Amino acid sequence: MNALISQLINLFASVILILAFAMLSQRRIINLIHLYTWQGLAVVGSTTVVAYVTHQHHLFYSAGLTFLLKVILIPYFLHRLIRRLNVRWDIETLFNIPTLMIIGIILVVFAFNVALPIAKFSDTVAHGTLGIALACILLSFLMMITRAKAVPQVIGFRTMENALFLAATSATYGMPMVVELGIALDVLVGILILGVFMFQIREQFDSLDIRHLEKLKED
Amino acid sequence: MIHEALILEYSGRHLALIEWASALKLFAYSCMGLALFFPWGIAEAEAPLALIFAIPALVFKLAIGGFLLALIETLSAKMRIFRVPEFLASAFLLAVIGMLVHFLLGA
Repeated sequence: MNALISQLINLFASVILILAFAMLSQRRIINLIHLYTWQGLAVVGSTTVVAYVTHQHHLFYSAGLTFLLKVILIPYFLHRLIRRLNVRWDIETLFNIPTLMIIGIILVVFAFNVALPIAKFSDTVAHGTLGIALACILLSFLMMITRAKAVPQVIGFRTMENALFLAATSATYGMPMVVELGIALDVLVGILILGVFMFQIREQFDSLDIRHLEKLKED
Repeated sequence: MIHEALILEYSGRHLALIEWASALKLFAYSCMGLALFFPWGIAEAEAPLALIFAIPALVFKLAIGGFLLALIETLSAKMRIFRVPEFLASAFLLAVIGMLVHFLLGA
């Protein structure tokens, strides 16, 4: 039973890692949002399993909160946002996806190596997934670095928050309830403000390409 | 299907031979994949009676695989040949990630 539970947690963590890679190499914005929704669902599943096996009631609440926020509300906001911005079918030109994937593999090796000694100190049921969470954080960093448009960058930011949540769950059975409620509110307000920012950016530059922001004045 | 246009210049029995070869290839690969990932109902050595159950099990699994293949080919029209490096990179990525995750979690 316990082996099955820990295998289930590992399965969810691996799904989150694979989805992070899929998001890294995804060109279409709408598919990016779908992948983000699936990743949120995997985080919810992993949190629920950990909560069930450790009888931590606050983890059930945080899983419910995650489901409400990351599977329903934020994807709904993002869908509305890209419909209003009219970038629903936008394709982003990424440079050389195979190279990105190789860099991603190197990051994963690095993250696993870094997390291995840390995870040995932890005695939670999900301590093995700390490396995967760290790898997902680095991958979402990479995604934010390589994207040029604003919406994928925001989605990369949200992916990083997913991974941080997974790291917290796997290392210490989640953060206290107050912290989690605060983060949830932050996330919600943040996504609204970023949405407003995107409209501002587009009004200013007629495009969502953030490379325009690097120029200080018209030349 | 990556590049189907290669066989456009064949017809008749030559086309039949090529189609037969590709059918054999698909059959062999799907049997290998099924044996690796869904190894239920395979007859073991020195148990000839188990073959009676093994053949319907294999046919059943192949039918499901064929259905999924048809579904995928219907949903995605054609893989572009210029994207082949990406597919190869994805395959390599999956293999490496599988190995790494096995070392991290399985040990």
